[in-house]
Amino acid sequence: MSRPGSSPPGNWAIGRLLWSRLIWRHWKKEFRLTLVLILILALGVAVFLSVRLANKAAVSGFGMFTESIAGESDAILRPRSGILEEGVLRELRDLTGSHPIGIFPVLEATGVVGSDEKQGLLRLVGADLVALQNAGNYAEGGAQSFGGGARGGENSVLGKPDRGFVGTSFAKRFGVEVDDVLAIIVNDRSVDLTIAGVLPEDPNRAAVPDNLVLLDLPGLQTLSGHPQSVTRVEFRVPPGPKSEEVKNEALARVWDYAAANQFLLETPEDRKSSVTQMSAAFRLNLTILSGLALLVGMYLILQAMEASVVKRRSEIAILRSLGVTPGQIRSAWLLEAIILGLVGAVVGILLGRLLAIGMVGAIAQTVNTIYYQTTTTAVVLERSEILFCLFFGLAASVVAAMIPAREASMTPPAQTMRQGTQGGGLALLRNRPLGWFLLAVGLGLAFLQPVTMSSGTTVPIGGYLSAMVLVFSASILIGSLFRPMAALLARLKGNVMWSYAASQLKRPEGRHRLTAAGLAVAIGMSAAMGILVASFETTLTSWIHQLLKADIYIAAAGANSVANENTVSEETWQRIAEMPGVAGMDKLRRYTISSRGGDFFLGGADYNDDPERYLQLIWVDPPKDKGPHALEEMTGDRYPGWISQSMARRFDIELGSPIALPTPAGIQPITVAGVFAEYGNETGTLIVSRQHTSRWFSDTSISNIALYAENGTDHEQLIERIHSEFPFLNARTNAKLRKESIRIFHQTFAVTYALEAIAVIIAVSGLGLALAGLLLERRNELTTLKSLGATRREIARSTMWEGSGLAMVGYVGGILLSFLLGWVLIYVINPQSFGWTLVYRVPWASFLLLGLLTVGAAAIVAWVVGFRNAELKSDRQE
Amino acid sequence: MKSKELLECGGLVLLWRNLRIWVIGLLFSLSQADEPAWNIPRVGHELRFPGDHGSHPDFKIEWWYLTGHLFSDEKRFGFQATFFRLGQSPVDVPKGEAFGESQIYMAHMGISNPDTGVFLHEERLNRGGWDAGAKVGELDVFNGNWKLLKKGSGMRLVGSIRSEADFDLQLQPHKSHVIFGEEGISRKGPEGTAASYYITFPRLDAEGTLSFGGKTYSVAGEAWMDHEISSSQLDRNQVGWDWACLQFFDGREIMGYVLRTDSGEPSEYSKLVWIDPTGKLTHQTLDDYRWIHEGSWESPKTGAVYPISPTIEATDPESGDRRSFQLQPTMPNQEMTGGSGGVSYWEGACDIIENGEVVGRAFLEMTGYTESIADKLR
Repeated sequence: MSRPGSSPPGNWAIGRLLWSRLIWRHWKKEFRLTLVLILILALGVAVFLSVRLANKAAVSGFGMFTESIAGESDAILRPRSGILEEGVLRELRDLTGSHPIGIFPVLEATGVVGSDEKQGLLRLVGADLVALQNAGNYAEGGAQSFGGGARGGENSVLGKPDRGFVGTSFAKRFGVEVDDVLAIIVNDRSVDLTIAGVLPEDPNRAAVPDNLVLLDLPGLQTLSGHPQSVTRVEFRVPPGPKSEEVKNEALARVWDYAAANQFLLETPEDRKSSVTQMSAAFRLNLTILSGLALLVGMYLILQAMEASVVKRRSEIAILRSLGVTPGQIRSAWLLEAIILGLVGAVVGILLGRLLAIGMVGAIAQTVNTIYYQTTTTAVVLERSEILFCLFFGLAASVVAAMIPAREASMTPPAQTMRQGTQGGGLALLRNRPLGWFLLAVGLGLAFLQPVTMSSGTTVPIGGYLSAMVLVFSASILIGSLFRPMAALLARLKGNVMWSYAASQLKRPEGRHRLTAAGLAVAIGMSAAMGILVASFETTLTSWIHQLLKADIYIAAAGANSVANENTVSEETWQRIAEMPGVAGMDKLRRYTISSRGGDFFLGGADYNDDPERYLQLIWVDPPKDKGPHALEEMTGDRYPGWISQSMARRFDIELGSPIALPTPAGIQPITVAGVFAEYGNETGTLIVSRQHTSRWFSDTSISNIALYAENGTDHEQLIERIHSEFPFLNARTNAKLRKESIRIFHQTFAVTYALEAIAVIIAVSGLGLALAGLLLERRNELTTLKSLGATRREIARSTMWEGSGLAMVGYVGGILLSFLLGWVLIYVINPQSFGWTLVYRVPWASFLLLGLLTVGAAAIVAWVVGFRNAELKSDRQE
Repeated sequence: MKSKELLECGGLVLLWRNLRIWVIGLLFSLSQADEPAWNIPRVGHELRFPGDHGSHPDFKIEWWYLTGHLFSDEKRFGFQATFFRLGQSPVDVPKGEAFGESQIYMAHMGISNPDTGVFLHEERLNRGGWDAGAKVGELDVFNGNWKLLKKGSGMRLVGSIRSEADFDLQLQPHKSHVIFGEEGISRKGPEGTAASYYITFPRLDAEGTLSFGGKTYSVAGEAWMDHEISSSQLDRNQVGWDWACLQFFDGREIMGYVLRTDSGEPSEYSKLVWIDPTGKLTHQTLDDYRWIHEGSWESPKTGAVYPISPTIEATDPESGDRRSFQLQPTMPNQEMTGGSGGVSYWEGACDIIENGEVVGRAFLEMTGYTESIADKLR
């Protein structure tokens, strides 16, 4: 960037001068500061990248699982509800006639490793292990020959319910090898599974998920209690010049067949995207949160770059007097920002990858708990991600350097070292009307309608924009807090150093404002999340409290995941019902239904026959009859059904709406008779009487039991009896289930806690940086103070007061901001993206603790900075 | 398989490739373990037709083997279609059972196009049940979309090779079926079990459509069909065989084979049978004919070296003359490379050359050139 008229050799010389005098010399002298700056930038990039990577790795487990079984399936046929009878296979073969289409039936079930339920669900996949030999015919290059290697295998795996293949990651995870026996629980019984083989890993191919067991299909039919059934049928068209014709003709017939029988025919991509979209809102929230962490990082970069302008003011003045133009100074500054941005981004990418590895488990756990079964895969850093992060780091650094660069270029040539009133001269932060205007805009944005995605999930764009604008507004308005804070400090009696600190806050510099703004943003976001979590917890607790009226809750093993398909057989639940001390039970059978708008849960409920003691839902739109038998009688020719609030929102239905429910016994007409609150999932639930579902699905097994004990029965003893008779059932007392629910809840928010902590740590370190800059600017004053007798410790103490005051301003501002952000989160973002209504609850105790920690940390950092900078000489040259 | 293809197939191939070795091994180990009471061919047993064209699940090994030569204007194709049944236990798959375990069905298809030098083949393995089976009492065999079934006074054969080629043929017997062997059974060794019921349609008129390389042709030609029923095909010391069916332009046929032993000498149970235009059979032993290995082709895939142009010398029962027929393959690469069956062999269309003239068409089969197959067919 050169001015017209300046000659090229001059430019080159000036460039070198700028580089050596302004940038390189400063970096060498302020090595640690430069390092901190890079680290702040790196941390911002790292948090952002790690959330993106961890998100991908956590949900890609679903895709990987499908691929490892389906390979390149051209289509998948599955029922909208329940399972397929294997008779469809012959029909499909007849239907496709002489077309060479591969038809691969798959049965899926879930299991749990007996010794440790916390290890999560096992996916039991049943495929015809003989027909799988033909797979090579469906790949380019044709079948493979194994010639003489085709020997071995002492024991048969065909038709066996207790022999299966696993991948190497499974073998490693559970410490098993070939011929080892692993006790697994399927439905309500235990099976000793013999590992028939471990499929070796190949770096060129997708790994077999670490929770997958492959069995022969008829074996799994026996094991899972689904004789003559399959979960889905996959189609593969072999390669060749006629493959398109085969696809068009054969799959068109399958399509018609699917439509006529109410089955779904989709590509693996359709299936994958419809499933992963279920958690899209959750993942978007995380990404946006991580983006906000980067925003806090930008405040700090701005702060640090700005501080370095002050430090180099005298150099700038000298350079200006030597004829260097403001444009050239600005270019030098931007160049510095680019270099710092690049180095910071590179370090951030490396750090982000490490962070992602740590985070992926927590995200996958959350997805497993509330959305669908997934397994994590290795965190993969793709080139696009690297480029994106380099760009992001660079952009953040350059944008943050813009204002300081402008300030640097404006420094007049005659400027000498003096306390600059311009120090941290961010005029924007003094523009109070703008602050109020942004506040109004921010609040207005909150009322925008959400954007609906193809899966039916909605993204509250207005809410997110509102949060962002409110953050900017708070950054400006925070300046108003300095005067009251200074007044407060002044009112408290203190020595002269105290008054000195108070006076600094009374006349806040741009740097004070910027620091407080950065801190307020970090505190504000963390505290807002705190409000959201507290509100959620309060709502959930009261919901659970109202909902959990039974004494003991029983479920088949693996009940902690929504993907669990284990059930309790009729024989078992009948025997439990007849146990002494059992007064009655609510029974629920849960199915997954696939409709055009996406999957939802169908609950077949069977309530305890007692007008007082049965599961009573919390109503949003109450039905006329809420009694235990309300769902049994048909109204005219329609079945009554109760839907959850999230189902109402997802499918845009309400009280009185009709639902055409696909079941194995055909489409059933349902009328919505009530809408209830449910915080367990955002997928949506429809509840009808189990009397009907057991008939539609020809199924008497159940998923959950809520058991009512007779008065005077010891619940723990009853559980012991249940466990001794049915060791594989998961039976818990009311209190334990509540505790477990809250544990799962906290697990869900685990990642957000970590993000908040990072934001506050960044902000407090930024405060230290800012104070160091301030003291540097004030070195003349400090010298005067010292000549008046102030000791190094007194100066450190004064800096500590100032820092604490600054932190208090940031903290109070942040808390005020959090009330607004909390409001947006609870009343805008949450209902729009999840359909959950929460009560607004402020966690005062946590806020107090956050305040103490922030101000305390700030005080310590400030003291250290003060102590170190108290020795600066007034004539020290930078 | 190239790495790109591996990636495209995802993990499925991983499962398949590793499982394949295991399952194929299992199939054969199952066949050998605790031999159940299989039926064996008995002297004097009278086969009844058309019922005996169907399946015999009480026998351990059974195949329906079709080979032929098809023509469409100037184009010529050779085809092979084989349906194997390998019994795991001597009962049929119960009706309605989708995933049977008592019968395993293997099938091979091959089409050669000498004009382009392209030989396409596919092999399949399925358990008896919804996607593979064979009817008892009636010719109706299927494996996936491949099928062979009775149609009118003849039969219909539907086959394909991936989406690269396919055919749908009507096969009409030009002459009635014959049964090889003395007293109704074809002996393969001294052990009583090493024998089969060997039923053959030596000349079938074929007509239908064939698609190859994206083009569809109306085709006509001649085919040969073997139906062999046994519980053990080979003797212990036999490592493989060379087999051929010759269809002469004069209306006669020859079915001949040499059973090769581990000592390198041909087995005394090797046979050659002349079939005259009326279906009359003349059985000959190694005293009456010679099988001279000539020509050599090394498979780039399996490394096996096949003598693909053998000469068969035999005494003509009609004239009493010594005749010499050289089988000239229409193209060298007609090897079935194992695939799901785990056995590699050469099975190809040939011309019959006598004194420099083409006197008929033949199909030549050579097994046991990669490894001994005795254990697999016992």
